Amino acid sequence: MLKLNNVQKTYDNFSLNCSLRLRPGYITGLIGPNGAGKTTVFKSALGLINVEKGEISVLGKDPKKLKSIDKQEIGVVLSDSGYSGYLNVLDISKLMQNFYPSFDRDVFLKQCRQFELPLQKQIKDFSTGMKAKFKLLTAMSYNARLLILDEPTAGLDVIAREELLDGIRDYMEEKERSVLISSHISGDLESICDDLYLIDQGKIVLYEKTHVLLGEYGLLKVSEEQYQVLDKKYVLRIKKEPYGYRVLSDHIKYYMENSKDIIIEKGSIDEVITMMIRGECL
Amino acid sequence: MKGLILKDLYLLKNRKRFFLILMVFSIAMVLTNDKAVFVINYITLIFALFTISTINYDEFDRGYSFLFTLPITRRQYVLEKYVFGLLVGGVPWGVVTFFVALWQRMHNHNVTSVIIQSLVLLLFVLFFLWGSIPLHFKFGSEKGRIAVIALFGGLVGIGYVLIKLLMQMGVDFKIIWTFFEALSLWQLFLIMGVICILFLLLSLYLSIGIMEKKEF
Repeated sequence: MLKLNNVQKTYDNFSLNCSLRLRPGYITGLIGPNGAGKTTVFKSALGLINVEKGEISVLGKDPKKLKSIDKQEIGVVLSDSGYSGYLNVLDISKLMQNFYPSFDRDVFLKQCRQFELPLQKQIKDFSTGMKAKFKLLTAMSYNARLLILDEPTAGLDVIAREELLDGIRDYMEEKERSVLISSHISGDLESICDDLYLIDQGKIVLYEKTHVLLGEYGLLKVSEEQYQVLDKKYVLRIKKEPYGYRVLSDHIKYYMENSKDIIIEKGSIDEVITMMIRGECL
Repeated sequence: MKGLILKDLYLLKNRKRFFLILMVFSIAMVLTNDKAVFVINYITLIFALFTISTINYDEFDRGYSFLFTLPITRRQYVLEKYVFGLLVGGVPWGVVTFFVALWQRMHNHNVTSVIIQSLVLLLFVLFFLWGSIPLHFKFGSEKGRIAVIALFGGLVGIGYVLIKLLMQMGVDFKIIWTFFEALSLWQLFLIMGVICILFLLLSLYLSIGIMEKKEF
């Protein structure tokens, strides 16, 4: 569906060097701190920026060479951009009828009413939450095979976030659809992603299946003495703490079975991110 | 292309009150004095320049990023701006010229003169528009406006200085007058038409080049 192979892009104080793959039927998450390069990855995949090196394939084609008919297969949410704020929902629904043959205006307007979106109010006057709902609804309204969603839940409250994530889950019930999604809220990604890429300073620092990350990654809290004798075969990162060391491992069961006196906590995505970025390699 | 034109027409709809006032003002101008050609010029210019406003609307709030994820190519986007410019500049021009000509005829004034003047004005407006579009694509709305003033101001300035210099050097401009006077009306329009098409092609070429290379 989407493949980035050693894609490189350099700005004044930032450099992206990234490989990533989105498989058919998968929801793949891209997670990382602010300025890590998530939006640059999205813009590269959409052909909005020119990359210096590497290969990008979107639905089997170079994104710069995608034709109108190819783009009808891609639904996009960008965190900082959307339809002109000077248009209203009714205007946009008419435009979308012209852009996308499989767009069903009646269904779309019904969904907008369900989400309590005013049809004749200009988008610029929408609240942050309303804008986010509208962006996602438009991206999912024409049976695109590929959804590229940059921070689709930003600014939403818990209930609205859950509603939208349910929407994405429902969308994936059709076969051969894929989603690349980024979010600052790791809980969102934990609950819907099949696999995750962690990006930091323009580089992918971790790729893992979500169930593996949640089931097999974990933190060991060890004293100085315990650290000295710890089997470091499955240690990914360490961080010095007042009590000794915090250790990230991707084989938590191994330590549960072999190191009985140490504190072991199952990993959450937030902790894995923090350790992968702030921790030291051995 | 149709979707893009619709988008720009919906944006134009937002300014309907302004355009309504403009129409009332123009009708009043035609009815109350004889500056009919000024009205044609003014209406055509205001409508045609709305094309530049649509570029500013598209650019506002990083709008281009999303716009180019829609099923359009950058080349189609650029072409649409030129088509839209001809549409929103040409249609009001045609309508206003028709009514002004009708008004002139009802009052036994010279209709041919009005039509020739309005054609020349249309060409000037289109030249201004086609000069402005690539500059707005290149520099964005704020800097683009300054670039347009610099370009056209510069051209007028350079032209003025050049003519003054040539006159001081003793060049006789009567030759140019004689040349134009010798031409028939259709020959003159043919020359202007060719220049116009060449300028349009140059403007399109520059705009497409700028947008194809631009990053969003």
